Amino acid sequence: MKLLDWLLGVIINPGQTFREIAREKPVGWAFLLYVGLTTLTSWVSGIDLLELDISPWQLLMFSLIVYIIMFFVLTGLLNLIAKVFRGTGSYWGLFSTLAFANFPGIFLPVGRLLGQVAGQAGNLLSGIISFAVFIWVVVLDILALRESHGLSAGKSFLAYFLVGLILLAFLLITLVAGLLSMPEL
Amino acid sequence: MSGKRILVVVLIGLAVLSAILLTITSTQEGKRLSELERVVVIYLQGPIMESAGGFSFSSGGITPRRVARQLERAAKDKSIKAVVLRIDSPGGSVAASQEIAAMIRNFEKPLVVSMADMAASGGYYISAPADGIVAHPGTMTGSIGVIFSMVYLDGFYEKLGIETEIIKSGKHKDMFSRKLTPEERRLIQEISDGAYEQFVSEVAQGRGLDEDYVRELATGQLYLGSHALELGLVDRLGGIEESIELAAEIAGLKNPVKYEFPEPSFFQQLTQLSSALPLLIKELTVSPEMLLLERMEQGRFGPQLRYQLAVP
Repeated sequence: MKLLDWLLGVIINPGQTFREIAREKPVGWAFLLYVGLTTLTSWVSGIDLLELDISPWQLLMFSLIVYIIMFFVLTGLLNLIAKVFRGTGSYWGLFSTLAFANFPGIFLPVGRLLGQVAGQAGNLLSGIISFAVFIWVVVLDILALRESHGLSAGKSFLAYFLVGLILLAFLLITLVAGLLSMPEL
Repeated sequence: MSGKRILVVVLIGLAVLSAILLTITSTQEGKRLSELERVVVIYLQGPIMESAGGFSFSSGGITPRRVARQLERAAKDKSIKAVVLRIDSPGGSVAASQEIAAMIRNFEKPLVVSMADMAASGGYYISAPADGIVAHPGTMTGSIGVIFSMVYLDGFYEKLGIETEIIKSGKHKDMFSRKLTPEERRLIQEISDGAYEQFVSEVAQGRGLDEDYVRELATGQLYLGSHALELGLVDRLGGIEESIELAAEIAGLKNPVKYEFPEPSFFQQLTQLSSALPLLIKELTVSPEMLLLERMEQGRFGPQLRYQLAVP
């Protein structure tokens, strides 16, 4: 069961595991893992909306479609910038490693449940766990980029944050364009 | 299967189990929410107008669109069992007042109006169809009546050196471009009287009063809350707490809980501010004369029929 070994490897030995995943490119498993994790985390994040008149299934489907498209696009963008930095990896190698890098998201539902059990301090606890998982995934993403493209840690870091900056700029432009086209309140 | 692999399987199982447990507890929480007896307080402040055009640092007034949004939200929320509308308004547009009054009349949950400093003219018009009205002893209310106004701009145009020429089809088509003739004054008076009768009818129907009695009160005069209670224009004296009590009584609530919709998030506030930025920039950069001319072109100084305390 290579999949289980890889999943465990992401947690205990990410560098070597990402190298192996980048070489073998298990695209099918990676896609399934990404969809599974996104389904789980989107469901848990959207639970608060159950009291509203929004169908949780519609919300889940919408989130899934958006996240999957975003993942493909982000991987492409990251791959492009990695190539500019003279990276030697491939799109599908990066795709597979980045999908596996999301595995710590598995702790989010557990953290959320622990937070709920913890009473008043629950929100804080849940927030701390979510933040820790976020940082963990960012670090793993940079590692995944480094291992799949054979870049230095510095270049991987730079490439990753360049993508972040591009996304931020894109979001700001979209926001401003959207606001300017909004009708008067 | 090695111990490490079992660990991964356990981890995945734990995550799925947590998600299931969270779903179950949230559903129960949702049920508990619908069992809550919330009375939401919605604040409506400022003049009643059709739309909040232009940029303003003030509250922006009461528009049918804003009221509809708030009432829809209250209607959808199962935890909200009754509504208190806290009104502070000198009135305003006739059509907007009538639209808001219709929304309040047709609102399915118990709704009580709590009057603040002033709920006069259109402010009273929108209060009348509520299930109950609570006012402070010192609230200024009433002012049941209609006011028509128009601005003569001839002198202003002359000063600017603007000449106008009017070719009309229809005897009275240019009546608002010059001084009214006695016949036109009578026509406008008829319109005003019609809107007045609509006001009287709304108050009589909403308050369960006789129309002739309301007509006696509808002289356009203001009443203090304490006097309005004696006249039957309001049901009780008090503030928000008393209004919540009345709403709870009407809704048959045992444990009413005061509730207010959460304030917009920082991002939402930023979005609202950003959307008003082009207007703000325009108002700051364009000369006052140009703005005035633009408003004249838009007909902002045109004839106005209003359920309003005073027209500036």
